[in-house]
Amino acid sequence: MSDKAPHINMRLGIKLYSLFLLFSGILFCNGCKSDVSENSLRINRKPVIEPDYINVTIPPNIAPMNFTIAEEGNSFTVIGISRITGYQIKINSTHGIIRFPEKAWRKLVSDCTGDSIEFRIFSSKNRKDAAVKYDPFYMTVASEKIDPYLVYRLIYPGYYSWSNIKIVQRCIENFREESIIENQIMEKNCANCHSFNNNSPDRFMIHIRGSLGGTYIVEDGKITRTDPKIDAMPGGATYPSWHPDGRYLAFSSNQVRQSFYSQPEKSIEVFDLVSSLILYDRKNNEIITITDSDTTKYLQTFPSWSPDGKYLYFCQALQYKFLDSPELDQIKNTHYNLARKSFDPETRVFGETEIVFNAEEINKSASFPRISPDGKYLVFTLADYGTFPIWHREADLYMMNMQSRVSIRMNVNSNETESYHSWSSNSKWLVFSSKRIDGRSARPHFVHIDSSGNQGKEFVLPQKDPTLYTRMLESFNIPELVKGRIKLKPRDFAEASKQEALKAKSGNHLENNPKRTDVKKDTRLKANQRSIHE
Amino acid sequence: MIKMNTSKTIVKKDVYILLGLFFTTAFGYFFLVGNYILFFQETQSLFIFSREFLNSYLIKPGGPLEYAARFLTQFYAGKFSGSLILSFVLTLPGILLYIINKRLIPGISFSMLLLLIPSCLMLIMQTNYYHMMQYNLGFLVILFYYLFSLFAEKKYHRLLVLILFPLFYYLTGAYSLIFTGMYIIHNLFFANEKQNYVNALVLLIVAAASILVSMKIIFLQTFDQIIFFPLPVLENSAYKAAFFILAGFIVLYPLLCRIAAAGKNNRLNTRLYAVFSAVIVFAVAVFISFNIYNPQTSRVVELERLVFGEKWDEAIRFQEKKPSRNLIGQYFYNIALSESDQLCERLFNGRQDFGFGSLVLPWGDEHLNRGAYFYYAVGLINEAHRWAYEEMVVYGYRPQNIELLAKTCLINGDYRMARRYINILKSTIYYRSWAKEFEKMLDNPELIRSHPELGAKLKILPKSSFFIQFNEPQVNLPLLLNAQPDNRKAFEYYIAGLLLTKNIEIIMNNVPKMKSMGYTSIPKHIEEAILIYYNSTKIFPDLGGLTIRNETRLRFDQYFVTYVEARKRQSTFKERMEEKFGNTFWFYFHFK
Repeated sequence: MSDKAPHINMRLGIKLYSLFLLFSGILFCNGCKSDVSENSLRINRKPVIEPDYINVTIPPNIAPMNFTIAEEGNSFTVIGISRITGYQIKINSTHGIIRFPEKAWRKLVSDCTGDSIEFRIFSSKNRKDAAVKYDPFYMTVASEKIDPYLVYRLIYPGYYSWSNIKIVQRCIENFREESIIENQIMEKNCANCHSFNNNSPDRFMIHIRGSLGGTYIVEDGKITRTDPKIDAMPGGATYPSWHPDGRYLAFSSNQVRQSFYSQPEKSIEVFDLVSSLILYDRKNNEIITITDSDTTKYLQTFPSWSPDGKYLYFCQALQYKFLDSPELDQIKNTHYNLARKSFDPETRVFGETEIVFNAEEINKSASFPRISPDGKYLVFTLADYGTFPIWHREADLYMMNMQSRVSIRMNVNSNETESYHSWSSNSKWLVFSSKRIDGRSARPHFVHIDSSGNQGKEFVLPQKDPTLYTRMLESFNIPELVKGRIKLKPRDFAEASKQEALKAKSGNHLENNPKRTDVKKDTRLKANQRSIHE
Repeated sequence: MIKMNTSKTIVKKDVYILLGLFFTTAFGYFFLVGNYILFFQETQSLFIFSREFLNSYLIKPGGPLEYAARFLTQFYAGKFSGSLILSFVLTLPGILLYIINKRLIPGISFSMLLLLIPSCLMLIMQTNYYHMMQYNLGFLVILFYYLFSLFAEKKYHRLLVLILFPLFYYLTGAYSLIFTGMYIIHNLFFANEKQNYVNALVLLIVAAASILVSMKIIFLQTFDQIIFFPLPVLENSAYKAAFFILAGFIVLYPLLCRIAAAGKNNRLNTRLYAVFSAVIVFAVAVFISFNIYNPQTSRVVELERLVFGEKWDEAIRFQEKKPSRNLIGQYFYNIALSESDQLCERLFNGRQDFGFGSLVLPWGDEHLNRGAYFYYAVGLINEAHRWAYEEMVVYGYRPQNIELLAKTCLINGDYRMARRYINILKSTIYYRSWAKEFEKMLDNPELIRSHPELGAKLKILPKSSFFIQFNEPQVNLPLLLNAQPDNRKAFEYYIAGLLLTKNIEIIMNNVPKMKSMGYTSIPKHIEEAILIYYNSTKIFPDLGGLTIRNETRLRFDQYFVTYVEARKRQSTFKERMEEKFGNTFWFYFHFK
């Protein structure tokens, strides 16, 4: 034993020294001089990096924008420089995986706020060879911060089945991710839509479907399990939107079905047999119909309040002329327009429907209307047809100027799906789902939109391991920006699931609702075979 | 501990011979007879060498044990390596108990019997194909920890057993609770000091605290998962009984040793008795194992193995030689026929007991892992992809679903997703070479077109789109033929469905299309249907320029003559016809 001790100490010393050498080799911060730049051969193009963070606009409170250099070589150097203060971060890597240390990153971004960070990239076959220098690229650092938390559901972008589902909050300022709900401890129920009142972490709701089903409404740390479904509704309460004052929640009530395509271009079509709008009055625990008197003529879905709470925006299409199993052509001819109704919060009375954007006219279909909190812009998704753009590759984001009512196709679109989106509380950032990375899984992308409506270049949510998106199969579903950390944990929701659901009462007559409630769910399907899209 | 001269009662060599015999028998059983169990278990999960995969097992107590089991199970892909590992794992309790017994009851002949019982019970349980490796490892780690506690003689060593228990609980989950029972019994019956009773009590408290802290603070698991994972949850009552006997035996093992030790002066405490009793137990275990063996299950799994390995001819021969009466077995036979272009030529050479049911499996959990094969065979690649994806979501990564996802993505031109699935397979031991072969296609799509399997599927992809009818899957076949009239796989499945439902008229309507689909001769069973049609209507249908083979006509004449002759003896009528014409549509038409 006695002769082993020094040996162990020596080994420990060697390890610590190696660790020191490793770290000092990887990272040199402020003040270091780049010797790679002097002997480098210049290549007149920008490097290929993944994710594509070249010339993007980022918020000043974003986590390190780690990336991978997708260029040949066994030795890479990245130097991030503040043009204002000269502060630098230098990272060396043998595999091209660039991870910025958080503290140094924060300093760099802080130094560049309102300006941009310059990134110089060098690569070489090995350390002895002369380095190749690429054209520099920049990240513009906007002055406006983004809400620090992003809440999304992690789920396989599948069809009928689900297994583990989580709703998680990710701090955008670092890489910390925490679960809010995990269905592992909620009898494998399906957790789906989540919606926040004015981006608040203290007032929000989550739908749970299954044995512990209900709409779980959170207010100031208290969870109330409610059941807003009343008998006359055609389906369960589905897509939610909080009225700004917090008293009301608008929902659509949908009977969702799905069909699968036989050709590779598309895999799945999710559609509504019936859909109508309802209002949940939390104060009186009442459900009130929002539908028009000619409701059987229309499908109405995706409610979304204007920031002043005086209008409810939604999507509306002509009702199909089929029963349980629509033909492909019928689905292809279903086009949703953007519409709105005025609303008086005192009397709970809605006005007549007015069309805001006629998508049918241009053979398109609109979904997910979302108005910026400052009321200036409305962003919506436009696809060729139907009501479920996440499975439509052609789906793109459009932005309407609320004053001029002119809509433009946003710059952020790609050849793949752009779909769900939501605004930050300061109206300067929009988060949206895009499938551009692999065509299948949705990833949250952010875009800066200034007061004049100018858009910066979008970027995907940075990850500690920048290769994550190349492996991960799950989708980041329904990304919502939140102003702070949600303090509730999965166990709190599991505990709340033991409450008896607060059953909503009918606040008015629902005889105007669509009559096609006789179409029942396929009883052959077991609970876990019901669509994750319902 | 009990001290005794061991020379006359138990001989080391006897134990080694006995355990060697056990190992050899177990190896032989799983290598020759029960190999289907290995294939079944290996294909239940894919072991991936990645941090994320490891992390997914670290999030619950017992997860690490399951991870270790999955690691070992991957070697079941090799018949030899799988049998070797499993036999060794089953033999290991005997070795551990031998060491334990040497310490607890040296020189007691009964020891040999005691040390063999757990291995024998595990062997019997292992004949159930749902008895996974983690259940064996669970009992093994209990014995390891018990052994560790036995060697903890000094006070602080004994404390270590208690201090390490929370870690032991995390690693092994519910098995640590079985150990708790065993430890308490040990302390009650082998304790020499008062301190040992205290230790038992402390362990009980530590166990309760570990559970509580795990459930309330550390892990997001339900109470049931915290308490019972990873114990087996099989409904089979015989299996359950075996499990409870084994768990009870392990818990009471110290007591049994105590009882055995009490008989040290008994006249039965001899070497002969030791060997005799152990051999009897061993023989009974082997007898039960062979008795439990279910050839029908074995055949279905073997067929699945051959179909998964795309050994179509072997699968066909196997089913025809050892017919499976099971729906899934017949479904796999039909898949093999279709993939080797023999569906309407050979359909009735195998058993067909389920009509259309054995051609297409209905949508549902029960068939989630097998339904995709049909859609893949007929070229409905999107639907095959969907089934494989659903299986992946519900059951996790399995070799067959990830391979199918990769292939369907390649056929559909979705190379980005294909790369992901191929990368998953590249992170395994046994599927890496497959993945590397298919990886080449990602950079050179021309290889997909020239690949015999994928290229053939590309040619039969539907040319126009329609919605899949998943509640009535058979309806997809005419829709598919409408979208791709040259798809002979779909055509033969469609006709096979009509043959199995004896819908001859519609078959006749389809025969004229065959020549334009590239047929130069009519498959045998369609010829047989034509002759039945002609025989009953006296109208010869339009064959679209094709002809019926002379041998089929001659055979039909023989059938007719035999039919008239055999009908005279009603008692043997069906048997006689089956003997001569059991492989024809005529027999199916008249007798099924």
